[in-house]
Amino acid sequence: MLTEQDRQLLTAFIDGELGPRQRKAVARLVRKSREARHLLRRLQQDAHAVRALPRPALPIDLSGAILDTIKRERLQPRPEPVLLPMPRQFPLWTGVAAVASVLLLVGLGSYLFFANPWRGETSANPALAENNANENHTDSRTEKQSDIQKDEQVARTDSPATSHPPKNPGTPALHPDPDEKHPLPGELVGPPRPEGSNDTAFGAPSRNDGSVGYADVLIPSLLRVRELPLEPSRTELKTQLGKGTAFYLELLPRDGTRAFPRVQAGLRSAGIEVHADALVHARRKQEKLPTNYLFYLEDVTVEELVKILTQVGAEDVKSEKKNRAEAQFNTSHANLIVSRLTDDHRKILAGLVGVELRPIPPGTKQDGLPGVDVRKELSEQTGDQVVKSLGKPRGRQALALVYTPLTARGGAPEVKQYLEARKPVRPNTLQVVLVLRGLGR
Amino acid sequence: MNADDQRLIAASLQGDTSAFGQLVRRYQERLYHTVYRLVENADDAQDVVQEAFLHAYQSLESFKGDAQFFTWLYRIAVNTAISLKRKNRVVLSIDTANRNGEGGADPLDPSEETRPGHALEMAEEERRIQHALNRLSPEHRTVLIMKDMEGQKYEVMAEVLQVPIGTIRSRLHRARLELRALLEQDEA
Repeated sequence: MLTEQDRQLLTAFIDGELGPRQRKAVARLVRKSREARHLLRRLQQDAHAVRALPRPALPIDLSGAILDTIKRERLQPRPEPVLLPMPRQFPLWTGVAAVASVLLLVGLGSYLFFANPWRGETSANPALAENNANENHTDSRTEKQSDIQKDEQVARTDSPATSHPPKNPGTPALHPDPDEKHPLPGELVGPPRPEGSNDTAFGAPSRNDGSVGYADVLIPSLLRVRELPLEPSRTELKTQLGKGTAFYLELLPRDGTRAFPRVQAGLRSAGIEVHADALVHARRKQEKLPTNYLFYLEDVTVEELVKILTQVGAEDVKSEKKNRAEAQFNTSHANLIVSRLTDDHRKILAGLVGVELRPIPPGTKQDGLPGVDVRKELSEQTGDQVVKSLGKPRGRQALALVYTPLTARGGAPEVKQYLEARKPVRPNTLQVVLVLRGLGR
Repeated sequence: MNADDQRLIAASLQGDTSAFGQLVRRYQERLYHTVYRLVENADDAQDVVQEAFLHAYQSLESFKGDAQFFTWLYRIAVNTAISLKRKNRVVLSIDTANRNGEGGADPLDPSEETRPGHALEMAEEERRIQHALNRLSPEHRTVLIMKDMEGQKYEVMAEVLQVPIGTIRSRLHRARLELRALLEQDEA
């Protein structure tokens, strides 16, 4: 059986950075241990295989695009170095230990919370604590039971889809955690549980009644864009889109730039104009440079979105009739993936546009910052731009950006203009992030 | 530092962007080889290389010339690639397999062996190795690629990744054993 030290010696030998004494130690080890010989041989094979991986040629000269960007963005060498994300400085085990500690605390907290039937008495709410202290004089178990029943009654009327902060923050046991987050005006809450949905999964027992709860999960749908005119595909898409209010769609054409006009035409068919930033225009001119694009749209109904995507497929068929090489979605595999817009998608979107985008609720008077999450910090400049825009009426627009998580476009004037032009959405409409990801010609 | 690089850097700092263009042309290919293996696909690799050059251009004044320009550039690119990998971990993406198949860049010398069976075997072996590499953490993958593909010394790797040599050694140790375990799993 090899020790950890033996293994270290063998891997360092493969690295080729051992001194003469250590090399001799390796020689001794492999002479006496069959296991060491076997491991060394396999490690050498692995290193050879990695070394033998083909070295891809750079398909195009990037210097033109880089110099264009420098010119267009007026980049200059700065006296201070640009901050770069650095690799993790801590060993992996510190992260694992931190996560384990948090989980332990959460588990312990949950246990204490659920295990204590009189948790209303121990609320962290000072008003409640005082109230309970007074009540303790009576020490009546019946009264406490009655309080809890009242609380539960109130809690039942507070449905998840319409939950608001409690009218009386001091109400005991209604929200035992005073720091519990409640949806803010303008924040989208999860959709009500769909009737008869087969995408729900059993979860932990409900906090209120001890019955089995559910986790609302949307299994991504895989479709083909060119099949959307057919009833089964269209119905499946409609059904999926009917299950939520915010979606992340991936369209997988052969080439992102060539497929861009298809999406543009589809959006136009629904009366939505594409508002693209300068980088999009630049990339569309550089057809040889593979580029992925992101479209952000809101205030679009399920029917409109189905129509847009059907139109994308129809445009593709039309263009293929003119020139077969122009077809982008004539692939045998699925090229449309429909999934729920997750917090991670939102983070990436926020990274690109500079603010977290949430639809402005219907009927909102624009006396706040339209469409901007009020809990998030907003740069002064963006804030000013947005405030200036109040009440500017415009048609519906979709924002188009080059999709690379590395390229934040928050400062681009086109993005600011788009933010300025946003309006409250219509009821029952969707928020959609559509990514056009080229798979290679 | 290479005198020619020094001259081009000085010219770039004077505002001569074409001099920076020459630096890009000089190093883009080499940088791309490494980054491609780190990020798994051609599009992201090109984006990372571009971003790395743009970062480098903006930070040019802070480059003191005590290391090779390429080492400095390489550090920026590797960190950008690791950062991208971390971000991409959370994004729903189903195209990796496709990219490795249809959309990936071609090997430099695809005609090396013409026997169809051999080509298939090689492609399968490459897929297997790349698949296992992709399952390593960005840190482990990075050190393996730097060592086995680039032939970098511990010392240079430590400078590029800005960690102690001991960390490089132990990361490589873990990375090799992890890769071995993954390949064994695949073989089973």
